[in-house]
Amino acid sequence: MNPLKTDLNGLKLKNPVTVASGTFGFGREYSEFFDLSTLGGISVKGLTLKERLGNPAPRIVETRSGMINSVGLQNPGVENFIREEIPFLRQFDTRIIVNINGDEPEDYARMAQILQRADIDSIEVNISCPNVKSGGMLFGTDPEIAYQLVRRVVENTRHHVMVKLTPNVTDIKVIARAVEEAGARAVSLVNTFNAMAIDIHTQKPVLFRKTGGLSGPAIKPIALRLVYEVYEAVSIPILGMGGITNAEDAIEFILAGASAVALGTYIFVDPMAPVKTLEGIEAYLKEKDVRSLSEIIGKAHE
Amino acid sequence: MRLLTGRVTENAAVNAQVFRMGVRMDEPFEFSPGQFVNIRVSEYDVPLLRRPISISRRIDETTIEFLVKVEGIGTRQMGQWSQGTRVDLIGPLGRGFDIEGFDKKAPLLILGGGIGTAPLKGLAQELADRGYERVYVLNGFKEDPYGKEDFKCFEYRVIDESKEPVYVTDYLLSHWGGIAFQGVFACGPMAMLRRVKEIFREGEIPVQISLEEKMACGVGACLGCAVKIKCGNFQHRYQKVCVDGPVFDASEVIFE
Repeated sequence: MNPLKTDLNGLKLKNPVTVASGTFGFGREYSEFFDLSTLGGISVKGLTLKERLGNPAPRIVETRSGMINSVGLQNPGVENFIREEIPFLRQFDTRIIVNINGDEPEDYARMAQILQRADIDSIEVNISCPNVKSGGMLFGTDPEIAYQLVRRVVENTRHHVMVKLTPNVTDIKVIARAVEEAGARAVSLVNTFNAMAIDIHTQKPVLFRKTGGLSGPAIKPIALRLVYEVYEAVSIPILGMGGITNAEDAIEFILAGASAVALGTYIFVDPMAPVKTLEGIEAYLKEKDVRSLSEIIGKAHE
Repeated sequence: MRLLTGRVTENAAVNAQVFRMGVRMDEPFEFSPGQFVNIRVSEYDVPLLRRPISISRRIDETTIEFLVKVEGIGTRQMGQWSQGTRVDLIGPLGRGFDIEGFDKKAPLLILGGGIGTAPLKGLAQELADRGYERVYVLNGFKEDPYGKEDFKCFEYRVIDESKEPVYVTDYLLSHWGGIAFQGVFACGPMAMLRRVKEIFREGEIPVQISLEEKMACGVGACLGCAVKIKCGNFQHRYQKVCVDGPVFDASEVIFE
């Protein structure tokens, strides 16, 4: 038996290491560094109904142990994605997780319909993008809107539905429960934290849109705590992420309650980090004589 | 592009802000002028992100040279690397200068501003190696000019703005305005590149400019390094400096 396999409530992964949306494009770039079949899953760059140009530069700024981005969902649109990118991704033995975004709640339902016949493994409903004018994170901060929106997606698809949560709320558990009730099969958390950097010479915010989303090692302890809290609040599985750099970080998330993890920003630093993380988890399970990953998911709560 | 390793062969100050660093790669390294690499500064992740640095020129089959200006904690650390320091880089990256299709005897112009002269050294070397006979180089520096000895060319002019208050673009118009350049290659501050584009716009002379933008991945995945490009369907679209550039046709770039 494969000790690494894991299950996000119907989305079966051969191992718990995935890559987070927005940090891996559609896989093409990093396929030059390692075999994408190594990964449990790939969450693709966030998609919208129609092609989107994204925000003007500057879009990124590095801060201590992290980076703030304000890309603004630049993407080719869901239909171009289906036509151009799915055939490429399907060459690999990995799960395709499709991150969807909208200006209006109904955009998500439309995208779910469009993806109905697409050869994908999961829809990740992104109600947590901080970098767009309308929609995005707004939907993920109101439990009623989140519920209705997710409900409509679930009604419009046969695919596994996962919801990506924002940490920019007073109580993430409330939102997690709302989307669970709406029929989400899993939750992924966390998206980036609203943040800012100011250039002291120009005396203005660095990013064109002034604020953006903070990611990287700086957010890991907070993301970990949020995963821990959500694990106690819902019974659906968690895909945990936020500043993971290596196997130790990933194992912390698993012990906090994540059934699988995603690496993101750190891939920019070390493209091989997902592979190394997987090897490290495997070694840890051996060392601790754990026969199945499921034995340690949420173990920090015991 | 690949993850590669090498070692610092030498690291020397060029002036108070700029250093010249040689790196011998562990295997033969192919690149074209204008390409760059994304260097990991610290294995302890301070700073976190790699630093995109343009390749200045080739020293030998495996050794390349960088000219780097100290701007922040990343470049400052790199300036302190001693001989033998291990270097972890991703490269070669991006699209360099297109030097095909020019008449070997026709005049070509290389225009550099400050640290923007770095990738132009390798370009001048490549043009010389390929037998281009009339390459004019015009470099401007705010102060403490450097690099003249490495530019192989037909004519070289350097402007030290601390002694001679004139921009390279003004010098170009007043002194080299009568030369029928067939192609122009430029790298330097945005204001300079914008002016170069204006100067040559009407002459239908191809102008290639090398841009700089903050980057995270350097390989096209993060969409951080956006540059505004003219486009038919939309008013504009964004391209990635890291993979679509860093060298662009100036006529396509929208300057803000």
